[in-house]
Amino acid sequence: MAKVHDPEEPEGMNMTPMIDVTFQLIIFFMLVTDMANRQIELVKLPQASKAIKEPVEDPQILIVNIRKDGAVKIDGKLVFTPPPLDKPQEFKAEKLENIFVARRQSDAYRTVAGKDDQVKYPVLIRADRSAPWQWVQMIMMIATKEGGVTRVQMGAMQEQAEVKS
Amino acid sequence: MKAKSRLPREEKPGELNMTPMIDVVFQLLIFFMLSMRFRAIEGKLITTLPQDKGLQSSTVLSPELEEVRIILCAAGPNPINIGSNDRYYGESAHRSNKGEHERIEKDPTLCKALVEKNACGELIMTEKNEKSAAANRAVYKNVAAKAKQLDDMRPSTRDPSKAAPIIIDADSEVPYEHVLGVINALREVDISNVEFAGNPRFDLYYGSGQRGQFQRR
Repeated sequence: MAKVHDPEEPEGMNMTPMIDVTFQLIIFFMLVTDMANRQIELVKLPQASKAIKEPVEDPQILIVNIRKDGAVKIDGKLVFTPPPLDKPQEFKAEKLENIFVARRQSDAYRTVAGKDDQVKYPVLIRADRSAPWQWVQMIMMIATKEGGVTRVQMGAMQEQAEVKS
Repeated sequence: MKAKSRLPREEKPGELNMTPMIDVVFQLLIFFMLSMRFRAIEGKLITTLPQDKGLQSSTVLSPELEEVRIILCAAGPNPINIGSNDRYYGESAHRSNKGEHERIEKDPTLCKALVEKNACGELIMTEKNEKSAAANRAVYKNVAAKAKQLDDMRPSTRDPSKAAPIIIDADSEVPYEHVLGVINALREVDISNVEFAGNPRFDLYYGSGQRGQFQRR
């Protein structure tokens, strides 16, 4: 009797709030995942069958992305653009150097320094497969000279991925 | 019965309109699938650079034996005159002994691989020709096999830490994939002491001005 009397209240479910909430959830997850992957730039990595997959990422890792044109992105920010070919003297890497210097001067680095800092403070170079080698060399040089880093990891795709796609 | 007939079809009590929810769930599913796939296929090669030695390392650590040098050079001389105050692009000029004023612009599409003086084949940028990947891999294997052969021919040293390295000396323009391919191939034949030749272009900024090496373990 009650059901017939008031059909809107107990049975007629309004979907709008649920959809709203679900959208909120999507946005939340998107933001969270984006934060986690912010260091990862979409570059086409070269293939290497011996590439190791690390199950847990070192939280102190610095991911350096090198685009096809040699531009360097760290943490989603463009920190280095190669000089034009006809104006090589316009080479400027201060922003890039500052990142490594700041990293070396951080408290976290000081506490591990002297122990096994190269293991604790790795740099992952994710270079595009077509990126000129010189920019990878540049990162290695800055990492050693300015950053005191010796452990460098080179991002690569595993061969199986190539077969799949 | 009365209420049922009065309401429009979509608002019938007890019957949910699933379409929007399914849409949303599909969006979520696709999003997570994409983000998962991105993480799963990526790997890395771990390398070690010499600590606080930088570019001087080659003179500090004098190896007991002759090193094996793998050369990757980009083909095609196409001279460009840059100017006398050019310090930065000194590398190619440095290598070709043509003086500071001239720099050779090289084409990264086609590269040549040599081990010492033995030509090991040509490498094509996979970006220009996706089918070249298999041919490139054969060249990497070839390079590694040759390097292994030369490495084995050297007499073994007393102190393994002083063993001469295999040096990868790649031109500035060489695509990263070729260098990585060679490292990977060397790793497949169990060669571990690989070093990278330094780049004189950056010596003025980050080095001693000497040609040195980066080491990889």
